Amino acid sequence: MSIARRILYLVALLLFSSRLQAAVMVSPVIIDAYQVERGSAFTVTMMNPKTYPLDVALEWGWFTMSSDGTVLLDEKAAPELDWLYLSNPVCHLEPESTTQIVITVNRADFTAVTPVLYISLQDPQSPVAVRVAVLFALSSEQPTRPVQIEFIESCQTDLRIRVTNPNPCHIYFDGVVELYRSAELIDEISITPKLVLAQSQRDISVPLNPGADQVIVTSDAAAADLMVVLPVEL
Amino acid sequence: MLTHSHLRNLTWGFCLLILVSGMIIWGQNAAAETVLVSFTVEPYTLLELPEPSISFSPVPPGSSVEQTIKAIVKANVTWELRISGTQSARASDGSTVGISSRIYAYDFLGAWEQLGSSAQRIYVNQPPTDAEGVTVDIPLRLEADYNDPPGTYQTEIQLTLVPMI
Repeated sequence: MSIARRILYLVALLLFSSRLQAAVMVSPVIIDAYQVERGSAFTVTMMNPKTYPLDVALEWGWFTMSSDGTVLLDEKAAPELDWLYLSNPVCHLEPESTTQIVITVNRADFTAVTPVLYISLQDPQSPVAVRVAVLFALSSEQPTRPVQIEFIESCQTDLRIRVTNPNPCHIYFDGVVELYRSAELIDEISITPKLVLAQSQRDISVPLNPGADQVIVTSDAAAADLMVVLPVEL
Repeated sequence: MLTHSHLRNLTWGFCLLILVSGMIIWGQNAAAETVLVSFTVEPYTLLELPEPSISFSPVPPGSSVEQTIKAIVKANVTWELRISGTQSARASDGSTVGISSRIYAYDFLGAWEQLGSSAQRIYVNQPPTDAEGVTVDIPLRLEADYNDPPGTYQTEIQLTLVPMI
């Protein structure tokens, strides 16, 4: 084989679509509910901000979370677990308009489920698929027990707080971190609500003021405040 | 010298003053009645491809070429952007073929990671945006393989916008 033929050019076109820009806005992208039952319904609004119509496909998957809060997506939804009902897997969005879809709880024989609805722009001409994930945290129960703050530890420039949710359903953890130096308050950091899935743990990191020698974490979601004396750097 | 008549008038005047003051205070309180208004701002995200047309330059086998996709994200929650791909492609004749050439994306750790069926994270823990959104660059690298016959291929990639909670 000649060198000329060896150096054959491979042209890979990722996108050569002549189609217009594609965009979709979705709200809400996080839906959580307690005590859901058969017939409970949730509405998701999709907006097409462009001046031309768009089609979107709706597909189900599952998600879970790692302890650091990373959402782990499972692309393969088990269709037999038809807990949620969606009337149409495809939706047409008129230009510059909003469309609502209703998701209904089909079966409520679960304690806690975390499905994810993928809303994908449909453009058969474009090899790039664009999609937005809508995360659901649904439970037939409601939390009855407080979150446990397991420990607080300093990791270089951050403070790591581990919380455990003993409930069979998800819960939100929020609170305040107070940092002290020589018994004097030097910093106060709010923890925005963090989702902790049913019977799982979550690590929450907040920036650590290097001069702090004591930390107190308070939260209405927790059974008790936790105070920790930090090691002093010599 | 105060007479009984004066005292009575003063008493009435004082009572009237108290009454008028009370009515004024009551009226002011009534005017200051407040109504609690509650509202909910829902979490939203928007994902847009501003440049739907992009292509890699022709590349000989064994070499690589880079290209960047742009995406616009708007969100009022913390978000992540992920990318996935496939090892199949559509050839010039329209047939679907398996390809050995690989496409890599520059991930959030600063490494080139091959696109696969499981989405990899390219932007993580991104803060909420303003109304204009943010434009993000997604660097891609194509490594052409000797096993792929010359030709033009079209393969699919997928961008997924994920809210963080």
